[in-house]
Amino acid sequence: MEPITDFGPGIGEKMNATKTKKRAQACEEEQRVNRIPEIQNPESEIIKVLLIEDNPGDARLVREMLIETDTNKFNLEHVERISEGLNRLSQDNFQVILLDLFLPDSHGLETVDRVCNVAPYVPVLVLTGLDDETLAIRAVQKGAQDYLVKGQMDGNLLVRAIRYATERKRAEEALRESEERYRTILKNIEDGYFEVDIAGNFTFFNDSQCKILGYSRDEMMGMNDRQYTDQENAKKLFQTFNKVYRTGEPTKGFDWEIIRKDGAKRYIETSVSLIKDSSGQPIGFRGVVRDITERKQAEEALRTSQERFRQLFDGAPIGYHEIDSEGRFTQVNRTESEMLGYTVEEMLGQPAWNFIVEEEESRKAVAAKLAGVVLPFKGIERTYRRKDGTTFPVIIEDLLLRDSEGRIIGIRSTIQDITERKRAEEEMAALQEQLRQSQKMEAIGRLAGGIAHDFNNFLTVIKGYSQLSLLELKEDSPLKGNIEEINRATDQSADLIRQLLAFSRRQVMEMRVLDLNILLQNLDKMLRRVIGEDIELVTLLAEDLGRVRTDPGQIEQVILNLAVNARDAMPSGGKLTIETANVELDGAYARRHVAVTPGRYVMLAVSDTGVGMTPEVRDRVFEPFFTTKEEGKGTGLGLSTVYGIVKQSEGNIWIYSEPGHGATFKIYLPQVEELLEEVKEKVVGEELPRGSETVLVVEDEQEVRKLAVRVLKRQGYKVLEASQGDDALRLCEEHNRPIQLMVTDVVMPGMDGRELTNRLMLLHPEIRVLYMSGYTGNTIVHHGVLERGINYIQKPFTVDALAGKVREVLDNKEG
Amino acid sequence: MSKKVLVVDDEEVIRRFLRIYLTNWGYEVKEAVDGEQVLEQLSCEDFDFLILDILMPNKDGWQVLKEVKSNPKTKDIPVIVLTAKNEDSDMFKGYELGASYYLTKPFTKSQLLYGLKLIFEEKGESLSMAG
Repeated sequence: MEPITDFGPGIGEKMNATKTKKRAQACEEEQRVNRIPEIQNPESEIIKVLLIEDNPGDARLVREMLIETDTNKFNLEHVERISEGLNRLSQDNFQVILLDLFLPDSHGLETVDRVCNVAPYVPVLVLTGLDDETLAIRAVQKGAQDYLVKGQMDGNLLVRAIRYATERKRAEEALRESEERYRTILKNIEDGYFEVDIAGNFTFFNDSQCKILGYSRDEMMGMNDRQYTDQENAKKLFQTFNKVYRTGEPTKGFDWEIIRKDGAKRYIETSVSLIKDSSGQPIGFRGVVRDITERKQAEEALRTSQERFRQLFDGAPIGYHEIDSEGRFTQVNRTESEMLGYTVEEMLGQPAWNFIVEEEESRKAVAAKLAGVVLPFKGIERTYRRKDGTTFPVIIEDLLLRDSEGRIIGIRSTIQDITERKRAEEEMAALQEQLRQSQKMEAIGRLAGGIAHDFNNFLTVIKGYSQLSLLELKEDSPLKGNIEEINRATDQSADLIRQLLAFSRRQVMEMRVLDLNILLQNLDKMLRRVIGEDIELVTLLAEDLGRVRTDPGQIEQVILNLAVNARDAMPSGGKLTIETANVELDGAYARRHVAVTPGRYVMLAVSDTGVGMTPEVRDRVFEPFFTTKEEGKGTGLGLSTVYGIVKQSEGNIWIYSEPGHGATFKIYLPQVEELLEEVKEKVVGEELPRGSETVLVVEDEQEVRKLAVRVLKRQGYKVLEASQGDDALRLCEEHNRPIQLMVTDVVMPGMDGRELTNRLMLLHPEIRVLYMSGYTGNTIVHHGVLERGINYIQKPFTVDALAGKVREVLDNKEG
Repeated sequence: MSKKVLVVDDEEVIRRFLRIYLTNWGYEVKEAVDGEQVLEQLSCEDFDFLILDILMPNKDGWQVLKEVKSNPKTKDIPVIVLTAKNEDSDMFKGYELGASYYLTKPFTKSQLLYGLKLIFEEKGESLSMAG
């Protein structure tokens, strides 16, 4: 082991350390000559010699010796005092100094110091007396190259001494310079440099090594690696050093962890090589050490950051991709690949537009963006095509990628699957439309219903009197025809009003639990007649169809009206399909359809193969008086009636139609659990039924009351009449004999029909009651649905209807 | 034995058309020109079916239909209403009053045949067409 302590720091300062204070001051005065003598060829160059000698004899002698030897080789300059010499040294370059130690202004070794201090690179030959050899040797130790004893030297000796001195000085300088260079490097590099012996103990190291390990120079010297690392790393270290030892090959970039004196752990990168002695025997290792903790941390941070980015990139809820300047994918995140059903690998390298339904458009747009012709779109909607061929809508947001010179090199995009949003938007739009539609229909319904109510009363009177007149006129009366015309017109008006009432959901519904399949089977004959010979009727009836509660007459009306509508849509024939099915409408369906409650329904669908409807027609088709038929054909109330009846049955109706593709009306009626009820057959009497019972007629509308009284009297009944509840009660109190029937209006000023009945029952428990009303919004008919067990006749009634109904109520055994 | 039909219409042209068609198909055709005549003929003769106009003098078709359908003797005779009244409400009224088929003018031969087919199929007979 060869400690290269000479390389150690502090050595450069050795010279100063030995100086006295006085010398130091002199040093400040005497400017140091840092010029290194120029490298010269000793054979050909002239050597400049400065002789500092106060003895003129000695000086002359030296000059003669040099001239004598080789005049051309030496250029001798002589000064007598050190101050002069130092002055000259600072002004000029000399290759060698011949120095007498005893000068008038300087004595002994001090003289050497002063000269060496000013011209450290110029070799000094000390001229000394015979008796001063000890001093001369000390001068050499102080930095003089050599000494010559005055009186013993000759020309040859002097010349040789000068030659050797300059050469030696040059070699020394070269070595010193080289050492200086290494020392400077070691001192200034951040990296640690170390040498250890075979056992791993530090033998040499620089300051950085100390700094890295956190120990002082003294603490570290001789320290073993096991003292600044843990067991695991020591093992790692041993293996590495061992390998270098065995193979003799240096190792580079070996990472391990040290524990500093303060306990902090640091990452170290080390290169190690073997040190051999002059005989080739390994004697230790040397290496360079770099603290890479920050780099490691940065790498780790980068790795974590990259991982985080990758996770974010892949796990983002939206798709990300990047395309290059040719529009090909260079990056695709997992979300996007999963959206499309491809693997990321399948997508990379493919042009972006390959996955877009609007392929051509997209290709052009991408090209334009890449060319910088158009700015990137914000939020463009496209349709993506999955691997399985299905499609879905997306929104793409673009960002141009540019290189450092601003050239466009690609596009980075985010992709959002907007299927849900679209669906929600469409649902919302559809719902709003439905809501608007239903509100419009309700408004029209209220208007129509209001008019219809008033008309009903008038029509009842007109109808009644015209019928009575017909009954009373002689067969050959010329007025008969006129009255028949009035009668007919009244019928038509009543029909119109009935339809308006149906539309405005104010028609009285006689609800029954029924099976639509049975109803349809019974209606088959009629349907075939209605649609005529050019239209094929197909009925697809579901097995085990659920029951519904509705008015059978009204629902027949609905089906017939739809059949008529279908027939008119197929002027040159076609197919009418009537279908029933059990359906379950779930929450999702209910959310998309206004006014639908989730649950079990019976669906009745009526489809035709006719001309179909435009959306504009479809929106208005249920409006009263809206018709696409030629004027005079149809009232425009058929489908309005359908709508009203379905709504009044708490059902829903939807139309599916496109021009040229027929139309389907789907009606959904809520299923009920109750058992079927028998539908009474209508009995068409031949003659108006008669009777002799006592009937009380209560009606505030005078005309209607008079009509009813006349009809009933004509048919043989004893009739009591009152215009309001109070009068009726008084009348009954006065009347001692039984009253079999009261025919009463429902809505009257003061006491209403229902209350009157309750109070009358106390006086005449045997009494039966027949209500009459033209309007459904009252106490016996709730929301158009007749309470069970209530007898009711709708205004406007016909003479036949009143006579028939009165008889029916009186004859009903159940009472 | 061929089936016997009573054709009621106040218009000669219509009666003539019907006579030609029906005779060709092998029916025996009788005619009436107003409501009164129909009821008279029905009371003294049996018919297999009736083809009845609505708008005619001396009792309109509605009245005739009502009377035919309320008379136990004649209520089972199928009635084909043949009329210019082409409103759906009229059609429904016709069926309500008991018509077997409601045919609007102008009519075609095939429409008439379809009506006859419906009538006879429902009676469990097949359409007889000699012609």
